[in-house]
Amino acid sequence: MRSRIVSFFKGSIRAEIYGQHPEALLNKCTEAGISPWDVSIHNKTLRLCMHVRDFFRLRPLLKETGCRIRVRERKGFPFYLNRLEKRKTFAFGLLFFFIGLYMLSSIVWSIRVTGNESIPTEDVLQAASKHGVHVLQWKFNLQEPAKLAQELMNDLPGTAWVGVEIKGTQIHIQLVEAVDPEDKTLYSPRHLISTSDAVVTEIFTEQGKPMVQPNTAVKKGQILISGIIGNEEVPEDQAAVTAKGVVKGLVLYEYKIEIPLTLQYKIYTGNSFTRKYLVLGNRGLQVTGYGQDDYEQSESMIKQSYIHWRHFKLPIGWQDEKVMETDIVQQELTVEEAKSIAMQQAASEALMIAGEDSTITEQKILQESTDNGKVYIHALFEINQHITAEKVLIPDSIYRGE
Amino acid sequence: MLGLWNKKLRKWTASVLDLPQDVILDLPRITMIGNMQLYIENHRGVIAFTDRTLQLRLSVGQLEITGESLVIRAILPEEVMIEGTIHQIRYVQ
Repeated sequence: MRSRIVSFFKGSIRAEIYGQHPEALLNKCTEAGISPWDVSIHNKTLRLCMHVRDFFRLRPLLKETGCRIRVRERKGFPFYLNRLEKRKTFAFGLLFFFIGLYMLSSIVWSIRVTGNESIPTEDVLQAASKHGVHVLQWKFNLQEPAKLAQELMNDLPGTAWVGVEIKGTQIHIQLVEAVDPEDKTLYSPRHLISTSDAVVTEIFTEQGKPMVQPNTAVKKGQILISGIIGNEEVPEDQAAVTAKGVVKGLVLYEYKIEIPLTLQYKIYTGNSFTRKYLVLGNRGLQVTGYGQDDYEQSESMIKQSYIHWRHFKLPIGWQDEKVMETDIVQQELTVEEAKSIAMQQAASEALMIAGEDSTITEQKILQESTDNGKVYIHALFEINQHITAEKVLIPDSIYRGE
Repeated sequence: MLGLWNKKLRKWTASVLDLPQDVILDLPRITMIGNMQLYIENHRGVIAFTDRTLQLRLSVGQLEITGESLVIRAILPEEVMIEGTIHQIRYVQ
């Protein structure tokens, strides 16, 4: 019949009415359209509840019936307002709280950048702050996300798409980086020449004029594939091109190696003990591992672990130090063993210098001697490797005809 | 004489059209839930009210309700809802 919410907002009172004929008042009330509730009578006192608005319309009726009224209880929103008027500071605080809440929630508190791989996040943030997107910015100062995204995309080269999303107090910038096609290097007209004295084993010409054939001995700097094509006799018919191709040749490497006949190794003896530390800041407090003698020679392995809370590293941690005894072992080598070690070392060194795609075709020990506990070796390696280098062609007489 | 004719006509209409009598004849409709709650429609005002009795004026005669700790839970111009322990409902001509 009567909604509690409605009567809360309208405001209601509980009153006591004293008089000779409270029933008459009740009848007059209902006639006037006032509908009280919770009406009861105790010792000629009528207790009832009604809306505040009805209370003011009750006044003339009270006079007519000669009753008196006393308000016992006030309930509802209008009375809260009344009370609030008395507590101005409280009201102000309440208002201030809501304003503060609103203001704080309309500030950008964090910016998240995702999807960038080669573009540094700092660059994105810098570009964003140029358009007013930075931490502690008012959200209502920001432009439309779509417009921001467009401007960010203009400012950040190498992006295929930029999305700006405002999620509460966080701004989420999403990037999709453009995958640029690889730049094609521009080549100028050139010759391919030999890097060293060699014997050509294979030649494959992609562009240009081959000047050598397999099994030709070439000098360092000799043209292998010429960049000038056309009739040699008639300069007008000639053109300069970028010589391209693969030329491999046998190159000789000479090495003089010496290797001692005793090898020294460091080995772990297997003895070890562990010291444990409690780490506070940059100080360590040793907890266990007292009373252990240090080894004559040792290595220690340190493992530190800190307490983490979320992504903060707390300055409290634990450190394990494992002290392991080491020993130096001397190994005597025979001349043969020393020789093979020396050859292996030299071969790998030579291959490294020769570059990729190279193979040793022959290796020879030219001279060997043992002296002062060392083996001296003079070795020769024949390596099949790429022997091409570029030489830029300066077109002087070539284009004269054009 | 005319009033009697009017009443008869109304009664006849009610029976022919199968309407509830209270709609046509201006009679109170009394709904009671156990002896705790009483809902009276179409009353004509309160004559007397204490926590033991309630006298209501009707279009014809009066209605007297007796009980204990009677409270008018709500009152509107033509409706009244009473709560308490109801012992008796009596028509008084």
